[in-house]
Amino acid sequence: MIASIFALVLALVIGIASLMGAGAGAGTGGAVPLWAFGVVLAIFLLLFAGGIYIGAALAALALIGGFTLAERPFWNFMGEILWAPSTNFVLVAVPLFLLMGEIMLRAGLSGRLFRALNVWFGRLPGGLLHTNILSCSVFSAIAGSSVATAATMGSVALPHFEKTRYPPKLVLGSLAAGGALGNLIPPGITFIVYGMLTETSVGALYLAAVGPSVLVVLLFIVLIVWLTWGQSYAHEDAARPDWRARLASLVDLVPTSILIFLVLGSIYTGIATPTESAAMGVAGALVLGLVDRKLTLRMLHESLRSTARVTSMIALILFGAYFLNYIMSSLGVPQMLASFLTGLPIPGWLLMVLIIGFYLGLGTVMEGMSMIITTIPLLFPVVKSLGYDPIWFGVIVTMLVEIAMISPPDGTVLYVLQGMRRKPGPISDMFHGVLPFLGAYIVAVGLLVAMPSIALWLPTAVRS
Amino acid sequence: MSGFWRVLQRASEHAVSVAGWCYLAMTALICFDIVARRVLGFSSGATSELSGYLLGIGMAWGLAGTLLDRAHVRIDLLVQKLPLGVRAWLHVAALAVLLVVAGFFAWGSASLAIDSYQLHATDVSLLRTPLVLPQALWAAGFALFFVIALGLCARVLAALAGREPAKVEKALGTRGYQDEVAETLEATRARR
Repeated sequence: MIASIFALVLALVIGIASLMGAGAGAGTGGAVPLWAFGVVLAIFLLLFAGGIYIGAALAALALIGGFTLAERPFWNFMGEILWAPSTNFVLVAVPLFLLMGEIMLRAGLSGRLFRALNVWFGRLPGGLLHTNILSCSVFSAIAGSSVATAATMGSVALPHFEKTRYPPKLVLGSLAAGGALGNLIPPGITFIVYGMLTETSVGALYLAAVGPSVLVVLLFIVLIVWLTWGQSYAHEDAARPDWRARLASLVDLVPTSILIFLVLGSIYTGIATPTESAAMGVAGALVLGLVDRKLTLRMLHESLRSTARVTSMIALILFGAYFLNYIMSSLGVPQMLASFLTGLPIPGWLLMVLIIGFYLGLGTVMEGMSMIITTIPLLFPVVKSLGYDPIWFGVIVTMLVEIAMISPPDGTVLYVLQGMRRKPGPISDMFHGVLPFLGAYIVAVGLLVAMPSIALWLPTAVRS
Repeated sequence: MSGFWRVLQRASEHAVSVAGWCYLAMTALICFDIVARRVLGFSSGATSELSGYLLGIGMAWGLAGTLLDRAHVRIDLLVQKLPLGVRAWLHVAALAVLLVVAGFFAWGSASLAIDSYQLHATDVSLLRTPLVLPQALWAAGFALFFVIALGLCARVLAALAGREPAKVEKALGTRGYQDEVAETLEATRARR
């Protein structure tokens, strides 16, 4: 619904603007007539709305465009087009981070993490809710997926709340919000795919994500303090942990700290590339699983199969997108679109706001990774020619994808948590609970648009 | 006919497992390279190429099983709202487009492997790997994907002809969030 309204607004703006400033776009136009693009765009929308597999729809569009518009025989390069993304060393990190998450999901590091953090943060107003956010953010620093983060922390946290008087809406909302940190806090796989599509450094993206991650976590904590001010939800005889208990709890944080140190430490100190650190992360998760006696051959096999399925799911979309990009670049479409949009008589910031709105709207109907792979090749040249920083835009897009995952009525994370509730309740509890956090997340995006240095100071500082 | 289909199904199941083990091999390879470089002072000089090949093979070999598991992404927001009869036709249309695309992919990857074989092309790593080896394995994954799409197409067309749209839905309907939730819960529960 929101998506269609935005699409309509966008179409109107571009339509009116192109009537007013048609000269700007037409002057740069190539040999391809404008009506042909109209036809291709219509087919595109028809294929997507008709529920054609996204990867297949992109490739089918490339075939149509290639056979009707391209002058060179593109089919001679078909194999090469597919081989390039298949063997990309940056992309190697995707299955590796997925595998690390799958092993962690099954190895049960999360329970200890939650208990240890609760000893430290349980006394703040809103106690256990902070533990939700913080354990999610720590967990997502090692796992790359939001659904896995929400599901893992949900399975650990929800039983803790049964004996308390915390309102279920807030509990579920804070868990969903924590789950939406999964891809933003490094290392996330969204950044890898974005980095590969736009040829920006994944390491720099991870550095740039640090500031916004801290900002979002702080906003969530302030929000919880504000929502729970003056209330006491804790269990009556919850004992105040003494210092011995606190120190003992630190032991439970050791395995997680080792993994974080291994993965992020090696990226940030420059010892290893993100791909190499992902491999070390998998090795680390395997060793921790062995030490805990949770690693079995069956568990490993299941983790591997699950990783393979998700990787191939992403791969089909990537293949389609690379094929379509090849055809479009040979026709000069991205450059045309960029010069057309930047030539419109509307200011750059308004165009950026429209792009952000477009992602928020599209996110309610489309899964995040496919959204990025489909749209970035077309929109990235626009963003670049508007003079925005590619690294900054990568962080913005990732935040928008995360917002999509927790926005009603289609956010995946919401349904994962709804499926895990012990006491049944309507899905509207989830929707109401997550709204304040959604607001905070959007405020964070706004702050980042107003002050790009929140993201960019760290990569700049490291570079100099 | 259905016996042959079962063989194909099992083949794609195994192909997914092979893809998974490719990723584990990749891990071992990269970790070995890090240790060799930092501690033993040498580099294999072919790690990024070899792990790239493993990635390509893994991606291609997992495609067919992912199709059978109904895990390839579609936007089904509109499709879900339509009556079953129409929905079944749209599922078949989606599969038909996929079949054409899979055919092109299989053909393109196979001809690249054949080209590499005829030109005796090797990569630029220290191993001078003949490119036909990884490319043939990679192309085999696309071939399996095409064959599975073809077989699936035949099956759902038969179901459509027999006026059994529910069967089509079962074979092709997208996995809802219910499937995803059930799976994640299954995974977390397995560890207790």
